[in-house]
Amino acid sequence: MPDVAYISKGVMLLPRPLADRLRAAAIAHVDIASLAAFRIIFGAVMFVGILRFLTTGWIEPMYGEPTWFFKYPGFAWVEPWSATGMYIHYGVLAALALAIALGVYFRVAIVLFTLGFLYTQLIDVTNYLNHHYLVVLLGILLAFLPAHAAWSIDVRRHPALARATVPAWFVWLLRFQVGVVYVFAGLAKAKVDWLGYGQPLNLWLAARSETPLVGSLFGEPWVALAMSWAGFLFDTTIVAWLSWARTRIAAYVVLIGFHGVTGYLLNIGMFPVIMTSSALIFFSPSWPRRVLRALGRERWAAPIAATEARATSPRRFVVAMIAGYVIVQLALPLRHLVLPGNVLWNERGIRFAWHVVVREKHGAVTFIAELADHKQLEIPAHNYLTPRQDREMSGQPDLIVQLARHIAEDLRERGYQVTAIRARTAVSLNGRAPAAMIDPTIDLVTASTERWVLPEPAGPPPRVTIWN
Amino acid sequence: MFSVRISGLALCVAACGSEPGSASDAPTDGFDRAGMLAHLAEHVLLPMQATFATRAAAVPAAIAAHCDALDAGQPAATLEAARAAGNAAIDAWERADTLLVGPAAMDHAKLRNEIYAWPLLSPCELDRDVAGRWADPASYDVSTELVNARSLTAVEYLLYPTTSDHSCVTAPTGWDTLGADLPRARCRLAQAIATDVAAKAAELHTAWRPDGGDYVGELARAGTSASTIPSAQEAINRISDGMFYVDKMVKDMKLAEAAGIALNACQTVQTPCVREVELRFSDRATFALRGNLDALRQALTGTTPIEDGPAFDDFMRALGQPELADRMIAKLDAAIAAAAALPDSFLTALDTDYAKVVAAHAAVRDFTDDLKSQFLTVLALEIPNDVAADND
Repeated sequence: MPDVAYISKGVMLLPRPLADRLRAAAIAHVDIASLAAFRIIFGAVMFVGILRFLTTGWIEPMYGEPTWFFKYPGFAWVEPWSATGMYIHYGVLAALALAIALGVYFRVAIVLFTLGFLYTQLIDVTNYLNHHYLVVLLGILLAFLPAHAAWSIDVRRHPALARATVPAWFVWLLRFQVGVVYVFAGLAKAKVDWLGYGQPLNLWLAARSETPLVGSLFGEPWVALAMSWAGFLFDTTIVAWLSWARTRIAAYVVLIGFHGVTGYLLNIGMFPVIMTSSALIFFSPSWPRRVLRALGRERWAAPIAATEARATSPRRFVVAMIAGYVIVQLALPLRHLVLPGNVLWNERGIRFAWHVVVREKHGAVTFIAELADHKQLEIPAHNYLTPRQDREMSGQPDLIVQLARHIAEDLRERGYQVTAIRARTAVSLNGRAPAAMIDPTIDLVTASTERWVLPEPAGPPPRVTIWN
Repeated sequence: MFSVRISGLALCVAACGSEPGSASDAPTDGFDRAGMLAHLAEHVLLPMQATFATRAAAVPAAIAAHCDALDAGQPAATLEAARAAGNAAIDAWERADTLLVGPAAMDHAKLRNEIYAWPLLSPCELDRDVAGRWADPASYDVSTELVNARSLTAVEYLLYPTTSDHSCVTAPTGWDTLGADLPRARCRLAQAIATDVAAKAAELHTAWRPDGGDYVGELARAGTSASTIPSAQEAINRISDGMFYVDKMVKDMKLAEAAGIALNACQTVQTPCVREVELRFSDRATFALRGNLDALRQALTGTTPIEDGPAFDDFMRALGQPELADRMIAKLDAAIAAAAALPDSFLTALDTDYAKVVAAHAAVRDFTDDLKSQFLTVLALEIPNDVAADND
């Protein structure tokens, strides 16, 4: 049984009998319904999300107004279209999202949508959002899964595409991805500020004390602390509760409540909608049929007439790809643990790690150019950045360095003889008194390591309280 | 059925939640945000608008008197009176400009720029208007002018001529025929522009007044059904947005760029750039700075010469952050002291007291470091002109 042996090696930490059972369960076929529903809901949510982006007027300030963009390493070549071009780009993304939901030319649509969405994210690092990263990951996964093999126009046009079942691991892969978000978002909250002081939730809730009925409680630090712990426990355990059939429905009800509350109180956009809809993947693979039957849609609920597929193991290169993907998804969120310093302060390893709303940072950054005649020239960041870019940069050391290097280039092009660019920073983390985040003696143009980041300020964050 | 349960809960989440401010008539926490907003609106911001409107209304008549005197060939005394009226209006505006919120800030600060467009000023465009209007007064319509050729900055330019030459590459049509009429032509244009500014000032004051547009009430009742501002927090954020004038305009433009501390239009380094100096024709930039900082202090502390009431410092104290409040007031006082130490002539300060200008810049920067960091985080405020985009 070479396949079994291979899979067993892949899960070598498990006892052989358990590994064999796991393998058998993974390749066993399950109803395709939840995978098809995931596609439909993902496409619909993306369609709404893209329309929302188009109608809120964010294209101009995010792509039209900036004169310079922060780049990801290796992607400096990515430039935005003109503002009109970006409107068209997002319009096409909306059409592709609709195509995904309807299952029209699904493979083409999901690949183009994912690449097109990825492009919008690569234009400027300050556009990074955890849920945008999740959209790209889900898009990649869906591109490899036959999510259009049921309830799609593609199947209507080509009935041979229809499938009644898919290997369980197809569904597991999506569960893994959604689970990774929750678990690592929970682990990211396992920090002194969050669990010990209820920060930054305390700051945000105090500002929402006008909320009807419960607002008066938001000025109480213990409420923020209790909600911080609730958030931590929710994120770290919800996958387990959703995975266990006996607690699944109750867990999902709690999940809706959690995302409803966080969506109402915090400015996190489509994140609650994406997570609430994505978490449906934890239900039984046939859950959409049960819902359709409950809604009286028996014809839609009926299983698809298709040839039952034989349970086979995936090819080795597929297993290797999946293993690689899983390892990357587990390693990226953990990488900050092996990097020195406080990730909330130095931001090393904070992106692609599901550090969702765990810090509040504002800062003042002024660049100082040292010239050949030993004179100094201050360069306000707003000379180069929009207010949004400036706000994002002021708390992220690597972006400060990027801009410092751009300033050096720009000044040299203007004829200044720049010998160094330093940064004067004053950054407040979770309400603490402002502290220097960047060593003002370091030339950010030539510094080759991240030693420019100073240690985080000592001491706890303040507790904000409202008193009469 | 589980789907029914989910639908029911979703409906409850949608229905049980409510838009901020729609259900409550007042904030329910311990700090009286409404009281703070009412005090700042009624006793700090509205009086600034009222003072400015009164002073702006006096400018056209003072300039007209000067123009008449020029026509009669007796301009000596009236010029100083016209300048004094214009300067008094600008002084009043500098205070209001420091806390730009509401009607003057709307529509990309359209009204603000029609009143005081600095740093936008086109001397050449004004010289064209001087000649064009003198030749055919009916052809001139101030409302069609770009903001860089109107507003109090234009009035200052016209009342403080430094030369009888024009500022254009080629002479504006009719310039060469002005001859001895140039002062009269400049004066009449200044009068026309000042008349427009007075009208804009009255319009702005009306927009603030309770018996007019009642922006005072909009702020004071924010978060209730009697205001379009959805929450008191949002209203406070609008005022704090205005306070950021001190960062970009005062610290960076009026001080750093003018002194060559920061990158400027002259490309000078640690050497003044007169072109960047505010009110350079009347040399009253020091007065502008002092007015800006004093007005800012009133917003921060709620303390005016005749009133004291809740403001941002009290808000910080209510949040349990008295150290931050004390530190910010101390830093602002240091900046005010540094501005007071400057010579009244800013051009002289740049020339002979450069270190004092550098010190004033450093003192303002110390204050803005707090304003842009802990002030925002503790009060959970947004930076001005930010995109209300998602954040996770």
